[in-house]
Amino acid sequence: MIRLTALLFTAALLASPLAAESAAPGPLPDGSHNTEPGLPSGAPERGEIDHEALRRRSLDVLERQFGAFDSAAAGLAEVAAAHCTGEVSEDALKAQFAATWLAWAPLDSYQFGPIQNTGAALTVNFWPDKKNFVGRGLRALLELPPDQQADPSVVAGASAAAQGLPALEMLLYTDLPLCPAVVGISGYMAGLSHEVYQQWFGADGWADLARTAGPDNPVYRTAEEFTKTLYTAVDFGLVRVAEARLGRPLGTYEHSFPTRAEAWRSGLTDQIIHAQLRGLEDLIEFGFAGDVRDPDRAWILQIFGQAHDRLDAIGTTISEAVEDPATRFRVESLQDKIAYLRSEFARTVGPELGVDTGFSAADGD
Amino acid sequence: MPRPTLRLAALLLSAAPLATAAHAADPAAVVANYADIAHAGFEDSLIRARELNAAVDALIAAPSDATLDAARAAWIAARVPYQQTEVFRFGNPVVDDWEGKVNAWPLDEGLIDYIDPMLGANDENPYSVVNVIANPTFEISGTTVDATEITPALLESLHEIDGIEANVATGYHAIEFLLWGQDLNGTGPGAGARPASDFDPANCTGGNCDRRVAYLKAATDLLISDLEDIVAAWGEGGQGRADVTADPLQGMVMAFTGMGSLSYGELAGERMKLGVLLHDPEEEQDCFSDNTHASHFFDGVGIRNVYTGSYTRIDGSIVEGPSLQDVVASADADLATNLLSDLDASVAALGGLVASAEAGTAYDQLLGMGNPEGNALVQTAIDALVAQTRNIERAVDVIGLDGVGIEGSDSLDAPNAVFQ
Repeated sequence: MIRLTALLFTAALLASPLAAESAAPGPLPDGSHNTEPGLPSGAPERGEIDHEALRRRSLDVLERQFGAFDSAAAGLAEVAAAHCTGEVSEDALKAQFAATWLAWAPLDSYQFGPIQNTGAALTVNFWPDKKNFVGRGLRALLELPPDQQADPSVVAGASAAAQGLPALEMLLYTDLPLCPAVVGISGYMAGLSHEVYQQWFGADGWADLARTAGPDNPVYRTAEEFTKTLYTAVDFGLVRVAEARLGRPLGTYEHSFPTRAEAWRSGLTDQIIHAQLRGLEDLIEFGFAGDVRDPDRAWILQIFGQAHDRLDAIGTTISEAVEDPATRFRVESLQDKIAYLRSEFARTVGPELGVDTGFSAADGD
Repeated sequence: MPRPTLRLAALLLSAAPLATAAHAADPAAVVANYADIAHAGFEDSLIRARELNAAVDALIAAPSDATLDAARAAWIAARVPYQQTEVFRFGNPVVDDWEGKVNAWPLDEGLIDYIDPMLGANDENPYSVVNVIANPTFEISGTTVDATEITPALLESLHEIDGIEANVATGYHAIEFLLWGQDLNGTGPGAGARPASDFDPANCTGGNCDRRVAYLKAATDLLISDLEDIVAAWGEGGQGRADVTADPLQGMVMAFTGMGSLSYGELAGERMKLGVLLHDPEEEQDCFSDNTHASHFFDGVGIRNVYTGSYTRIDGSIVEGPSLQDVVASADADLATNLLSDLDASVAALGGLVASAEAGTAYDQLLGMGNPEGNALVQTAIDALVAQTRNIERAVDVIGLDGVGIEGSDSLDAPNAVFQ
């Protein structure tokens, strides 16, 4: 039970606004310092980027981020099972649920490789849900006998919309029966999160694929191509924040859509945005590191900081803010800031790394 | 019914030029040919839409199984050229702004006509069961809408009403729903089965046949006028043509952006992967007619057309000229060939969906929860579409175009020497 307690404590800390504020750039979240800051400051010119070093550092960042989600999801499965046997409270379950979603948030930016192969972007977080797929998928699951609802292998065969965080949120924040479906869904998600981690960092995983970039590599012909992939991921993550996470609830001035805000039921909308932005900052500061000149890197991180400030200045949840003209403009000004961040990132970091964005999952409509 | 067949696929593939550069790689000529192919594709779409309109007139004049079948066949035939134009959408603002009028999807069809409320009602959309055909007046956001006369203008005003994308009142899929009705077979065999008597005011089934007829006619007329607009946009002096030819480098960025964006984010992602993950039979683009296999296939053919600079028109004639492939080949012959192989592979994989449908297993059945082989067949096509975007990106790099994938990119300031 000690492990469970520690886990719950960590979850509560992660889910608290205080923790959300404390992760400013600096030492790595695990307390260690990056031993390989890249080239010394002072203008690496185009063509002098050490793509191999950038890759090594960035893979460290990714491994930490994917590892954090894997741990959080495993913890959630454990807490869910303990809740359904009466060992832990629903509040504790909600705290671990929040911690898991915030651990997922940075990974939303990396919709290539293992996340794409496993379909995790949709199975972990089926959003936006334009046609109530989550409700329908969940209803079908809840019609099954209890022992099947609790079985991750049964959930594996269900609709993707019933397999992840939005389905858990609907169980936790509506009148639907929480147990035992919460056990089956969180158990399935724990398995998937581990699968994604293994496909990245296990033997012959995507990380190895990136490390062995070369003419015969099926994906990365050069180390620079992996840099391009990471660079595209940053741009993609910012698009997701501006266009989906803010744009969908904003709608138009005449008609906003409060319930299109991600995770509006649990009120995690704003913290998810903080967490996704922090994940990208992490990649830029400790992954791209010295291969982006100091002044430019600092400038980009400064704009990230301004975006966090604007998000905090909204003063209410995005779901509530979009409806009231007095607060709506604050959401719009955050959206403007993200757009500015994106263009400054493209103006400074892209040319310095000698890469431009490639195609991403954001290219459809 | 003139269903697209694999023989047709083979024909299309053999009509394309060989991998060797047959034309000089002059960017201005490449984008001019690109615009010619766009114009021809949209013109073919217009021709087929007019044929569809004639078939709809015949259905209205004498509703019967035969006239309904003929109208359905005309709709399926109309999709063949249209889907090949989808590659012009992403990256071309004129097309992208216009496209939603004719090809918006997915739709809450209960806005238009009667549905099975267990299948199609959407809690997120208060208008998902408005049923315009049954209701001459109804309320939208507190305002009463007068729909006593169903006209193209009325349908335009209802399209994506209240900012909800699923409120699709116009275009191919609205017409498809009217001709077929809801597919109530889930992931089992069978498409929508609307009876011809739904269009027969004298022996009306489904209620309000006169209004259903009016809706079908208005939607078909509107499709024609919308297609006329886009044909004009790609003609001499049109905005679509001007956008890609004014600056040939920018034009080539648009062409590659269209190829990659349709391959990856749109077709592989939004239209295919989502359906496999949801195992939902309504997550297929042509869900009423079960024509999705063909729509996806001709999307793939269209991507290949743009690269090879060759389009086989519906009358069998060929529009061809200097191509993106020629430009890539002049910089890196191996890459040019590899990208062509990728595109051949995705067209072949999408052809697998066509073969499955022709053998009796429709696309929606492939999505079924207990059908791992079917799921895998769709996944193979997804993988091929994703894979080809890597060589599309490399092609952009090798010919020195920056900015692909970025909307409104201004990063064209370092054109490679190959263009000088």
